[in-house]
Amino acid sequence: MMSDKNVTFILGSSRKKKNTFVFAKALKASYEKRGFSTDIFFSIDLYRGLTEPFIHAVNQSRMICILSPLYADYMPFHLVKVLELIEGQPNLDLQGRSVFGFNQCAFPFYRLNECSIKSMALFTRRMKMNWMGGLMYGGAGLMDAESLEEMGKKGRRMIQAFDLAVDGMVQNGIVPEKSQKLLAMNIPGFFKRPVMWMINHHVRKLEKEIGQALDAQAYR
Amino acid sequence: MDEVKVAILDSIGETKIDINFSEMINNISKHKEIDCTLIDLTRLNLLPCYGCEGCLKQTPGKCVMKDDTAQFMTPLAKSNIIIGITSVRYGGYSSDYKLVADKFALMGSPYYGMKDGKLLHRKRYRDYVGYYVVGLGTSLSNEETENFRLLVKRNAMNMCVDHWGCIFTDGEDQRHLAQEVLGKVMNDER
Repeated sequence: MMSDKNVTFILGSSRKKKNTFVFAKALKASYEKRGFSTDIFFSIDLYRGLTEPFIHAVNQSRMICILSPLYADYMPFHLVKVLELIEGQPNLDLQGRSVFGFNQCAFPFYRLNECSIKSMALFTRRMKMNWMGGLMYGGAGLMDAESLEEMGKKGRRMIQAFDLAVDGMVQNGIVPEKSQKLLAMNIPGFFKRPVMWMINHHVRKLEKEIGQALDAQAYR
Repeated sequence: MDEVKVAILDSIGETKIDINFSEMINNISKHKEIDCTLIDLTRLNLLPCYGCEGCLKQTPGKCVMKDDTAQFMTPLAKSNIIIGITSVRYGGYSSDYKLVADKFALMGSPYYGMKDGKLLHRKRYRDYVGYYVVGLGTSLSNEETENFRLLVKRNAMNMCVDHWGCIFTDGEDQRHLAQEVLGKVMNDER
């Protein structure tokens, strides 16, 4: 039976303890401080077939949160597969559930996540669920933390963004626009070239360390 | 460019939907200057990309998974034009196609360059210049097709190709589809 206080998280990370999980922990904490209970599942564990605990958790939940990294400009394979499996699963009663989507990418340009977020919304509507809204973050490649709290002022802004989003979802089922503004990072255009130099310098350094050309044409 | 090499990544295959893509290949191959390779992805054993970075540090440019990645990557590395065939799911690629698209990162060098004001991976293989995707679906909404188009455009941008396009089909008129794909690929200026 569906409970108003249960939330199921579906994480599209291949690497379970990396950036998407760091964001998920902040979102989870925001729900839990409002008295919600949460369950986290990874699409990498579900793409060969949805498990009974997952089906049970979704059937119990009022809200579903989909969080994903960006792989080749979109959700990773296994998350798309899980959405397809959900669509084809007769034991899942999704009508009336509400969905939130979050996507993050390494580059500091959050709009690169647009296709993924839009697809999460299209999936939600196809399954006759309510789309509460989505958030995007660009710049996760610069993160090196186990939690957002460790990231100082920037991390606190991100926590605030998630908290505001959860508040909006719980109160009226909508993610407020301010959440995205808090998450957005604005990198001036002139900064791109120094970033390129810096990355290429690291690649050359790595090449020297491992003693192999990293731009080898391996499939020729 | 003397001879155009086309690699077709078919994620639909013969088993799911009765679409005879070999007809499309025949149509394309009728043009003497085209060398076409069809890769039936449904027959390959492919493991997902785990983001392990093995292709960066361990075996540069090569996926470390023990699967059939080389069977589609080898023709891709030699092609000028890549044509993908996928079902449209939620305004994006199907999981069957995304399994392969996740490995497009192998097409890029770890070195970055600036192109049209954008910071992008340099090409690992210099020859490919176009990326086109056939999206199969019935009664697709504008939202779905627009999102799909944006996804193909972003993929093309990150592959550093200037020519890209999408063709949507319900799979009914195969001859027309073949002509449309052929026309789009051959008419783009290169």
